[in-house]
Amino acid sequence: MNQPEITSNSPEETQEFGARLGELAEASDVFLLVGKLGAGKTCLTQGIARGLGIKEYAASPSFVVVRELYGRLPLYHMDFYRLENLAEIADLGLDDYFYGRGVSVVEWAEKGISLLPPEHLLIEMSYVSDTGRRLKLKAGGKRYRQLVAKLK
Amino acid sequence: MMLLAIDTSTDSASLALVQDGRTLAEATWRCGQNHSVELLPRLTRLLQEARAELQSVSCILVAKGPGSFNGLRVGLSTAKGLAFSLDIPIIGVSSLELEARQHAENDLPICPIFNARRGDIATALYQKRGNKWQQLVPEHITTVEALDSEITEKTLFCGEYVPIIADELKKKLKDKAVIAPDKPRRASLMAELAKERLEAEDYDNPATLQPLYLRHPAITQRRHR
Repeated sequence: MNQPEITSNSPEETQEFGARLGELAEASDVFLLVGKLGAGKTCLTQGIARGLGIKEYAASPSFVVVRELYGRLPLYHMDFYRLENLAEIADLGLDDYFYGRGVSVVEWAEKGISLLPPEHLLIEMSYVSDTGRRLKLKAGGKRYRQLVAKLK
Repeated sequence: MMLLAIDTSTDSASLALVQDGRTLAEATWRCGQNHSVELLPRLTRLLQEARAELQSVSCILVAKGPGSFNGLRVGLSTAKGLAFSLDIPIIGVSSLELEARQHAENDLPICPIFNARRGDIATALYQKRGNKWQQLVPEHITTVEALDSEITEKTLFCGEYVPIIADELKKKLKDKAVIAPDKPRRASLMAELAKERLEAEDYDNPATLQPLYLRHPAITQRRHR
């Protein structure tokens, strides 16, 4: 499978990429972010929020699990970091968000991948240096293959 | 006896105050996913319109699902909170039955459909036979594809998801599919559905009344963390 990679040299570049993703996003899009602490997941989400025309600061939702922000489309910013097990995630009934009118971005998605929609864009973020990051894009489904093609 | 009926099962929400079979006030609106924000202010307005006090409500009827996870949770927790604080009983009513009941003047079997997401639908089958309202098939999760084998005669399809899948239904079921006129789901009809239970004082236990989600994700839990 074609797996495009993007290298970002700074948090600004990561946000810039996020903004382009936000501009291209459509209702019911699901972006899953995977990567260690500090890999830039929240930073990328801030870019996506900007691309969606959201003025509000996209703070990490680690403690509240889900934050809703409103721009051209609603952004449902979720974070599974604090969740202990699949049952806890299943219990949240997040399908209302995933299949709703907004764009869902899930940080620490690996904690609940089996409960997340099979159609999604998975973004794996890893360190290449202090400020440099590699972003691997994995498109699950036609919509996301088209989206990735537009990002290039 | 004044009843308060609450339905937050889908994007369409409804509240009603019904006294001795008469609707005193009712509000049915497109709520989207905003149930938690809009429900209680609407209730306050409804009480004002009906010139009624919350303290005169003697039983709460609540649509218990299937439907939206968060919508149902908002409806049930509001219903339970009110029942607890007013010290009055509660009765849960199937949301699909409430949907079907909006079309009860029709003689055909009535098939309400909700979007269960992930390509699935939640459905059941009801019909008024003679003067008796009956459930022919209980609530379950299926697909539009599989309805072909479940629907054996001319049937009326209703629910806010039906216009979206109307073409597919007609293609699959041909003449058997009759599409109901779009009618928002009104909570006041819960009073009719709960009539027998109210008369028998057959109430639900507020501590154990659960939303009818139908869908439980296939998950296995780790034994140790």
